[in-house]
Amino acid sequence: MPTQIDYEYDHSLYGVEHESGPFDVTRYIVDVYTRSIGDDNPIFTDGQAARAAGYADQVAPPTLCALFERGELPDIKLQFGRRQFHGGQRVEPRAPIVVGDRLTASSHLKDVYTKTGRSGTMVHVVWETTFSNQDGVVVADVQRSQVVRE
Amino acid sequence: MTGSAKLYFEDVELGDEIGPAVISVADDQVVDFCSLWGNPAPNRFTDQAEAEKIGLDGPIVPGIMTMALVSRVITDWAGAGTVADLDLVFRGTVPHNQPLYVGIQVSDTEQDDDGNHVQCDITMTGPVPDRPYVIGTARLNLPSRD
Repeated sequence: MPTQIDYEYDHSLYGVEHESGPFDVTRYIVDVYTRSIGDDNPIFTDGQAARAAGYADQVAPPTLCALFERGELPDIKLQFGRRQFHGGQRVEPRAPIVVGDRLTASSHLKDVYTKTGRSGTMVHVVWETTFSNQDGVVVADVQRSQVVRE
Repeated sequence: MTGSAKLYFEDVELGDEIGPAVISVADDQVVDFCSLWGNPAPNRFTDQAEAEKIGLDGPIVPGIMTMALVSRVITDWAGAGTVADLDLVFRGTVPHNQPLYVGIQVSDTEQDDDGNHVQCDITMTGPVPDRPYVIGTARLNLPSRD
């Protein structure tokens, strides 16, 4: 039977969208990103190769937009625990992100729940962010799970 | 459909295992990544002393960089534009300058009106195979030879 614990947080954040951006996808950002992860796929490193493959320009690797989740989300005022870590991340690319795109983000609190394991009880705080480009096309949905431990 | 996939749906079978790909992350790679992320050095991801302050043995690879590395292994295999969903759970801290083993196992294949889908289980481990740093799933959309 799961352990019941007491934890409070700001429930009024549910259903509220938090807008952020714009975030410019520059060639510099894509180049440094691909270099830092050792990615030499020409679609991600060479605009000409990307255009030859049918893209508008050099393509951002599918996880790049997670860079733009920069802690601009509100504090949920969680009354629990002290140690916090990044518990999980999900990215669902919807359309290519290419150099020259200007993204905006819309984030909301998706869920807050507990799990109890060998190391004790943890509270998971899940934010969901939808990124759109300058044409209003949704390019990615991103979920971030932050975990707070007793 | 853009022409950047390296793999066709017909090339993949349930149970296929890819890798593990062996990668490692040098200190300067993490510094570069953090500079883009708006989290400049020194911090727990780049600096030994900062990491020790919060009880870590040494600097660690950020979660979103770990995800980027996993994604790179997938697109190295399947090609750009194939990842439809990547969902990872971070179960342990990922160290710098150590071999990291990224494994992919095909858990399902399906064709429907929306395309050709391949579901995969993902792991990233260090020296102890049964204590993964990362577990998760990926869904890929692949072109068909037809």
